[in-house]
Amino acid sequence: MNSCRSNILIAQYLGLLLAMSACASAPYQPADIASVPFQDRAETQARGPIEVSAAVPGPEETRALFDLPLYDSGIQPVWIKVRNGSDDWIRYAPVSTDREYFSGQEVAYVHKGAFSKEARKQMNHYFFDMGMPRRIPPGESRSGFVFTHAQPGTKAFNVDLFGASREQDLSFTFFIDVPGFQPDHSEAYFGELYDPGEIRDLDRDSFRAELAALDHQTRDSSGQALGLPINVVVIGEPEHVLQALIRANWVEKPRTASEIAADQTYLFGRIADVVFRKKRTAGGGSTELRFWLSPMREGGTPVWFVEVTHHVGGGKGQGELDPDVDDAAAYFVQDIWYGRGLAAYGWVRGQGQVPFDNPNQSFTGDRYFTEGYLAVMWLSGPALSMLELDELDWDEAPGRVEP
Amino acid sequence: MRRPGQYAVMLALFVAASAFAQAPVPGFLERAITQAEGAVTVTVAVPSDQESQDFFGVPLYKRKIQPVWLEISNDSDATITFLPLGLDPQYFTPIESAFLGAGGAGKTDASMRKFFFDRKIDMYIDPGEKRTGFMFTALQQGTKSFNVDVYTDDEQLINFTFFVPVPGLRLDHSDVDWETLYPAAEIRELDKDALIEALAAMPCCTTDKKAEGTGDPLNLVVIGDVDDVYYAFIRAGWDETEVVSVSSLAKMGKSFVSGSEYRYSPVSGLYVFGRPQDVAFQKARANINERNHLRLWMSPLRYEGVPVWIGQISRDIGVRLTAKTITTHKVDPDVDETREYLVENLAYSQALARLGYVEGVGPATIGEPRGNLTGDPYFTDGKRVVLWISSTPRDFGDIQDLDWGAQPTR
Repeated sequence: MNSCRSNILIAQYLGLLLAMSACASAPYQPADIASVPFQDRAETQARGPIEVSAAVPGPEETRALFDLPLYDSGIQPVWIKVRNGSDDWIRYAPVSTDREYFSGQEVAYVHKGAFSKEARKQMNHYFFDMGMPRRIPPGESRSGFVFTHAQPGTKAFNVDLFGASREQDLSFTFFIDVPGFQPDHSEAYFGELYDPGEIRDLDRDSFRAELAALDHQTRDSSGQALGLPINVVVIGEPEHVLQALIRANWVEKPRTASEIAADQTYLFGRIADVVFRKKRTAGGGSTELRFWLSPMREGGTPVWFVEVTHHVGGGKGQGELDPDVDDAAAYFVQDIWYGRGLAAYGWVRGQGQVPFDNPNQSFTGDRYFTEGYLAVMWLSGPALSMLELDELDWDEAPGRVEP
Repeated sequence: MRRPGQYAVMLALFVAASAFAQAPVPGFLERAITQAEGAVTVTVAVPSDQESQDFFGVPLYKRKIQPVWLEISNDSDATITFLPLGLDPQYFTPIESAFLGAGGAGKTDASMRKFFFDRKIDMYIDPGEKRTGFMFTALQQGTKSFNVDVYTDDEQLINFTFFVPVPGLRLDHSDVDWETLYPAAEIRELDKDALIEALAAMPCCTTDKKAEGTGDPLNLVVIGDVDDVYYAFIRAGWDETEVVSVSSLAKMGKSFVSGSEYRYSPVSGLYVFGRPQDVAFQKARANINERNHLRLWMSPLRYEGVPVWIGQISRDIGVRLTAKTITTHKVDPDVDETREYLVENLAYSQALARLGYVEGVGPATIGEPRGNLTGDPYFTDGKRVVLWISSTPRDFGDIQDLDWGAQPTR
């Protein structure tokens, strides 16, 4: 095969000298898997005779394991081991771990540039051998890598297995912290936000009454100018909230020091504790969640105030806020529900109705209108069936009655 | 409360009240499709590119936004909830659609934003009531497929599945006359053993037009009626394919020049039974702007009265240079991995009833791969997967795994 020569001819013809590097002759030298201690962090779950372990190598470990900077290409290998103690074959479905996973041969092909022809061949074989097989024979174990899209912070994924027994649920969910990534928040941070004397624990009725009477709007740093309304209240322990969000594909938005310094949206005298974002439309539209831990507790569980906003993507609409903040709240309720993380919810009708025809303007210049409802959501860490939802008989849901 | 048959009057009023929409009669309502379950009746219609432009006054399709019209009526004695996210988790909000359709927030005025906002379908439908309106969804031309999920007061989810043809594309499978594809005398109904034997004896690979060369391995067998096969692949996220025409060539040219995506692009013909594929599907991948390609040929075989198809699937993993065509897509050499991906893709979209494997392709190892017509190497365990399409949604756990003597081991 003379692809090297034709590459050079084309490169010269087009003046793309960079393509020259495609014919480098580096050897391919992956580290022995046993010499990279990422498996020490493996987490194991068992159900009946089936045991699943998973570990996620960090950026440096991955570079050593595959002799390639895969994280730089947005690729994150996940190591999986399945021990099949049953009497039947079981099948692993890689799409459960990442719907758009990369095939091993694809990862090798995309990174072939730096290697000689012989090294490429070696690399193709290596990726084939290191891939997690789909089928696990009875009484045996299989292990290997699945190549997923890199996810900053906690890596959340499923390992779905299918066996002869249809009765057993063999969907395993993992949340694994990856070295080299530091999320914004930590348990310690939330624990130190309020003095014990500031925290008020309410029963469900007084909680509801307090929410109805609440002034739920963010403010600027001076506390004077009004921002957007808080349209969602979430009840859940931090790790359960995180699990429910991750399962519904929300990604924590990393914020730089300058972004934090520029953030002027305040509640409880501080900027949001944590911000999540989700790409919503193919046109680049997104939805953003700003979370503040409140000093309230409901039945002993932390209460979070959330500003949910839709952002318009694509072309000239870029960056615009959708003024319909009620749609954003309804979207979030459904999104967590479809993500099997909603245990209960109810609506509280507040005082802040703003009509479509006479929108308010926040101090950031964004316009909005609302019927003034708060969606109040109890989140579940472990996955729930959609049919296990508890709908609270609180205020009538917001209809499309003109405010 | 709105009474049946009133929507036409209401639409006319809406249109009259709008400064910019010019459509006198929404013709797409003539293509409305209705389904009912229990006390809930759902009617849907999908305006074409031109109809959307006429109704909303802005080029929504150009912004990859597709309005879906819905009417949901509730004859029960409790409020029901329609869940927009179940129809399209990537939906556009009405005002966002107005912004994008107009080419910028600044190009909309209050009356236009209100026109869109007022046409949004309600989530809540009270007892004895009916609600009518639009959702703004991600564009899917050819056949639009979606669910309508309704949550009832007795805590049940009713799931309606719709496949709605949208005018505007010239699809390859519309050109096939299924009735006359084979003379009646050639059609053969086979029992299980005869089918396994016949499938193993089918050609290993596609050929070129002259029936020469050995191309991509024919590693798929699909058993299903024509409509069920389309619907299964469409529900699993595959796009249909246009035939070569003046219109599709223009779209290809535009896509080539601008670098924009043409999801329904005509594909090259590979040959089996002396003819190019009867139907091709393609699926965009999230990474590297590459696609999966799938081609099917209906065979003269029938099993349990249902047509048996043979096919080929390949996954693009990059672009490479060739002597013949300058550039071509590099195909993943691990064709079994691509085959198994399809099994899971169909299973997770609830389209599979049964699954089995037969011989017929012939094995090739990674160390000694075979090549296709454009010189791509591939390796395989040599097996063909047999996929029975389910005409109704089927859970992954309910798929029958049949041992037809050629189970893969990896």
